[in-house]
Parts: sequence; structure tokens; C-alpha cells
Amino acid sequence: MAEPILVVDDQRELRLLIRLSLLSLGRVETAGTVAEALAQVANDRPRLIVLDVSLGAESGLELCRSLKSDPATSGIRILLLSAYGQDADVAAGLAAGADRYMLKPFSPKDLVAACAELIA
Amino acid sequence: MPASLPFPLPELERVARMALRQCGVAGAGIALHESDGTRLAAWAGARPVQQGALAGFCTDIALRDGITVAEDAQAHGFLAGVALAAPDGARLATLCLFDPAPRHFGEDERARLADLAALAVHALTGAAQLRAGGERRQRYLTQASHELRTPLASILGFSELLLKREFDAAGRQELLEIVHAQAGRMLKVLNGTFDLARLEAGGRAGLRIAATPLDGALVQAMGIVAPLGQNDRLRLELASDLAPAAADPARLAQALSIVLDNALRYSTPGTEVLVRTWAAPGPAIGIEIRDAGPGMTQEAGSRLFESFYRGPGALDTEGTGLGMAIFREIMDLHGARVELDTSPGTGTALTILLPALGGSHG
Repeated sequence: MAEPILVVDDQRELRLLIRLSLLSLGRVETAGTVAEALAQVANDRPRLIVLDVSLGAESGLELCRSLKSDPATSGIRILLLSAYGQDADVAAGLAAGADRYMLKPFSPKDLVAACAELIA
Repeated sequence: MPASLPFPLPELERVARMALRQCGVAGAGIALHESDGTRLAAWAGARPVQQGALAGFCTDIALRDGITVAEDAQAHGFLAGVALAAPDGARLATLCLFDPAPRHFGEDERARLADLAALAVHALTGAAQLRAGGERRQRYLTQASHELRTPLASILGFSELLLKREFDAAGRQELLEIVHAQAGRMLKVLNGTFDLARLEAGGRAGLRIAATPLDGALVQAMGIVAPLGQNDRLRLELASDLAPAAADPARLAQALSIVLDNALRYSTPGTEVLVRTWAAPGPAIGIEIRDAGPGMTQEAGSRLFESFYRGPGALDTEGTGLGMAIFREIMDLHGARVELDTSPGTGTALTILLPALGGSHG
């Protein structure tokens, strides 16, 4: 089976929304915490991670940075999603190695297009 | 003085010009003490040939109190200065005078210099407060925008899916319920945001302070949290001889309901929440609300009253993170003192010392 897309968001509703949106692109797995995300990455390496910048008390930005700095996982494409839209936040996301940065709220159609482009 | 502090240059240049005229010297200005040395930042009139000597003089007197005068500073002529200290004692800068020739500095001139120093301190601290306020507002807006964008993502996203795709009845129902709940969440955030803004803008004048029996406010607060269905966990130990509080009854009830709601919601189910009141000196009313919950780390405790802060355990979507900020604002406006006693594993106790009406018992 093809590598899945992994959705990491601490909000159940957003995980559901993103998973439903991306089903047309193939298998979609979800994680609500950094630990769950790391377990998923280790067991079933995704081709793309749609990652929320802030995961409650944990930082998605930090997770992005560590995945992108580890040669074993740096090839995984990462799309950061954030409800913080300041220029500095976008710059921080891209500096953390993200391939793309999208702002919440987003149109599912646009998310699908952006993800399709990243895994093409 | 940190280099990042805003420097109210026009105001300080005005002070320098006034010092020049009123003290009858050749030059006057303000020296800033920065990490890499002292710098003349606002200056009027003649500058000494050796500016380093003036900077050195300003650095020397930065920690002194009162006015320092060197009527005949050898090759440098006349120098006088006074350190500009913030109310907390921090040295902000030095106001200094210069004249190429030695001169006498009389009592009148000293008094004028002291007045001008007070003016300069006012300009410096006012600018710092303005900036701190601006930063706080910016942080608040960023956070408020984040808190609104998150439920909006669900509302816009799910409604788009519902409009464009076919779902069976159960799926449709589930998604519509999410949209509805998230819209309700947005409304809560908006209401809380406006309530906090109204409190801040209205200040104490916005309160309707009256003689408020505490028991009445508490009963009202319990009514507000009754929908949680947990009021049977409250153990009341209420003093019977309390003076009425000097409080806005509705705001006091709101503030107490916020603490009760938190105590009932985030403590271990089934455990008791103690509500105790007593007469305190002041006169004041002591109110303690103590739960047997998981308690908080020092970090969580110190951030408890921040807008939009939600503890690590508060992952449910019920709270907005604004309750305790509203509570704190209401308490501050009432002149109440609030103390938090918590640590992991020991539960949380919040103590309020609320000003009472002096003398009259109700």
C-alpha cells in the first residue's frame, strides 16, 4: 500500500476535516500529539505530513524542525497549518523547514490542491 | 537603559531646551546609558569639546541620588547632573548641564533642575508604559485572532464539504453538529473578548459598587454554575457576621462563578470543593475556594490569569481561556487581593481578600 498522508492536529474536529478533505489523495492517518505523530512516522512512514503549528502545550513547529533535520525523515514533505497568520509566523514555519505554510481557516479544495502538488 | 526602550526624543529635547534657558547654562541634555556606553541623546545648546568627559561625568553620577554639581570641573568648565530614575529605582538616563566656564549653581537653579528631571522621568516612563501597553494589546489581538480562526476553520471547512459532497444522513448530522458547536465556541470567545474589553475600558467607574452581601453573590454564582450539575460537591463554610462587600453584585457573582466553574470542572470528579469565608482586617472579606484537583505546576499557575491561557489538562473545547483573565480584571477593579496556592498533586486554593464596607454589618 502507498505511503499515507499523516494529519497531526490536537483538535479532533480539525483532524476529521482534514482527513475527509484529503481522502481523494489516498490513505490518511491521524495523530493528536507529538508522541503519536512520531510513532506513526516510525511505523508507517508518511509521504506528507499536514501539521498544526501549535498542538496544545506542544509545538508542531518544533516537530517540523526535528523531522526536517533528521536525514531519516527529512524527505517527508511537510505542510504546516496555523491559525497564526503574521509574517513572522510564516517565516518561522518556513525556517523550520516546512515545504508549505497554510493559514486556518482554509478551503478544503485549496488544501487538497496544495497537498497534491507536494506529493506529485 | 535597554536600547530597545522607546525614546521620546521630542519631549526630552524640550526638557533640554527648558534646562538650557531656566538654568542659564551653555548646553543641556540627556545622556542615555546603553550597554556599549553613554550617549548624549537629546541635546540643546553648546556641546563640550570633550564629550567623553561629560559622558564620564553622567556615568559617574548615574547611581547617585539628587543633584551632583562640579562648579569647576578643571578643564571641562562647569558640569551638573541628576540621574533620572524610574519609580522602581531603575536608572533610565541622566539629565546634565554644561558650561565652558566655571560658575556657581544656586538653590533656585537646583530646584529648577529637579523639576525638569521629574518632567524627563515622566516622559521616559510614559513612553515605556505606552509601548508595554501596545505590545500587550498586540499579543492579545494575535491570540484572539487565533482563537477565532480555529473554530472558523471547522465551520468553513465542513460547510464546504457538506455543500460539495454527498454524505449519508448520519454523516451529514455529525458534520452539522460540529459546525453548530464550533459556531457556539466562536460566540463564547467573542463574548468573553468583548466582556474583558468592556471591563478594561470601563475601569472602576464602570462598576456599580454597592453594599453587597457575599452570601447573596455566592448563591447567584452557584446558580450560574448549576448547569454543570456538580453543586452537590460544594462544601460551604460561611462566616455569619460578615460586613457586606463593597462590590458590583453582578460582577462579583460572575467572578465567583468563574472560580467555582474551574474548581468543579478541573478537579477530580466526586471530590469536595471547599468554599470558606471569614472576616478579615481592612475591613475585608476573605474567600477561599479550594479543590482537591490535580493542582498546577508553577508555570501553569503563573500563567493562569493570562488571556487565552489554557492549562495542559484543559483539552476539552468548553473553555475559552478567558475566564480567569476576566476574574482577575474584576478583582483588580474591586481592589481585591488574589492569591493562588497550588502545586501538582495538592489541589488548588484561591484566596480572595475583597474590600468590605467599613463598620456597617449587614
